[in-house]
Amino acid sequence: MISVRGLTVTFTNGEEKFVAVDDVSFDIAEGESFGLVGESGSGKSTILKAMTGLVTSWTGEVSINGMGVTPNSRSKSFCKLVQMVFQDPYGSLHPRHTVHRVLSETLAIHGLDKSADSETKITEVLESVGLESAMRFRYPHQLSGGQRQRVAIARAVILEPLVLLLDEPTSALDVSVQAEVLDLFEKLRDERGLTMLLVTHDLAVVARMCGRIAVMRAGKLEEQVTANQLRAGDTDNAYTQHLLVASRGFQRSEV
Amino acid sequence: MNVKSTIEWLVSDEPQSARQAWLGQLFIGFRAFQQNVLGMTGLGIVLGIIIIAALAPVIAPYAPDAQDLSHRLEPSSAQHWLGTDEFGRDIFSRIIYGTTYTLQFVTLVIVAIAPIGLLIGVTAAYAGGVVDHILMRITDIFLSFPRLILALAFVATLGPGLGNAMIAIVLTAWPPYARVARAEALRIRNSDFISAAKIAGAPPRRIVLGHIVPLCIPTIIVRGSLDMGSIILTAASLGFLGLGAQPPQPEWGAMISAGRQYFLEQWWISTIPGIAICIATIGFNLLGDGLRDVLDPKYR
Repeated sequence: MISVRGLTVTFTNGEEKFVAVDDVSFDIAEGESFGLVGESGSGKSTILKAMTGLVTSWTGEVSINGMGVTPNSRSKSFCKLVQMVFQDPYGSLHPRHTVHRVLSETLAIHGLDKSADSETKITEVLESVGLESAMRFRYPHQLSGGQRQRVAIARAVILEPLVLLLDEPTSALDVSVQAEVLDLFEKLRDERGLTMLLVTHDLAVVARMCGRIAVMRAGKLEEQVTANQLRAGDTDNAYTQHLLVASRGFQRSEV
Repeated sequence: MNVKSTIEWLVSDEPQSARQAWLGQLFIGFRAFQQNVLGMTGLGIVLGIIIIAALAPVIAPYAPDAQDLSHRLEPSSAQHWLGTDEFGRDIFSRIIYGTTYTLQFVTLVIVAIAPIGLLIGVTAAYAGGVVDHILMRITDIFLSFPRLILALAFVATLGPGLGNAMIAIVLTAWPPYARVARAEALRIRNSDFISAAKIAGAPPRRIVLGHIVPLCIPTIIVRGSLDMGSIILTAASLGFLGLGAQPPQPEWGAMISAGRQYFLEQWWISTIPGIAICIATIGFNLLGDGLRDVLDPKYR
């Protein structure tokens, strides 16, 4: 479904060059959930931005569902194929657009707002992300963080994409809300057969959501492991071990 | 629908339509503005001026250019509440008719400069690169002219008159709007919700007009209402110098100028229009301050 070969993202600032992602390759099968983990600044979010065209200074080969992706061209059909959910639900919704406007505008961009079933589409998608119809004409500031993230998810799935890119979708949320949102992702994945690429620094989240996990460090892919290996701590890579220890939190014996 | 149920409908937590949600937000904004005493005073003054301008022929006891040479330079009396000028024209009537000139002038100038500045600033910010450089350098060029001096040069070339004065002020007043809109748009451009719109496939025109511009408008409104005071002053200054409104138009600046030579004995001829300019300017400034408190999140 997704194939990334030799993806390299370089940011230039005058004379300075910074390689944020260095020769990264991976494949994701249809319906699979793939996790990208690593510490802050390891380039994991940049990979998503390159795939969606928000960052254009990259080289390499990316193809999604057989469709070649180049840095500067994104067709409408590509937008329908790949959607993304952002980390911060407070920043990813326009402060002056109601929930209804967010969803109907997404349909309008693809010329779907005139069709008779646009109304049913909006009600259906609200229901499938677990938002009551009473929320429909609210502004973002009238919603809680979890509700906002549900709106962002609704916006991503209303176009019925095959691929969902998730950029730390739960890290800005309260722990109890995190679980609800993760449940929602699993439900949507099972219902719609979505292929997911999940970026996070939370090993517990990837271990739950993803079958295979790639560990990134300083722009390079360190290694790929399965969720079971990760859970069992079955890895030879020193950096992955290090992350695992860190994810267990503070332990007196190791100080 | 009575008042109570209308208010309940407006502040409903579960609006049933986009229109209700929008009106509700407007109502909540207005209630916040109502708390602001100075802002409400400003709104009162501005509304008063608008009503006076609209009803000028009804309120004014005399025509603005009706001369009565046997009653010239008279102080305040029962016939002429605010006295008469050097041609025996009723100053009260002239002040009232003057509101229409001032209002027209301010409104036309703002209506012209706010959209120009907004579009140039937002386009520069969103396009970036060469487009940004070119648009902003043009803005800098216009910004480098002192407003009144360029207006003077312009009117001196094209000939005096309200229309030319207006063009002159429009030419010099739009750059700050472009600057403000660009700064605002630069901040918004990198927001996640703009990225989300791009990922959804929104074309640049939709992003600029539907997503960025609505967020810049409050700042522009605030800037505009604060600017109105100084535009009134510029218009009056041009009138005073004889380059704006021409006699016998009852424009306040021109009236002050006409009364100058009688100032020591008949002080009211210059003073009354001066007070009128002062009240109008303060009204617009107070309104602008109040709007800023409500619309500008930095002041909340």
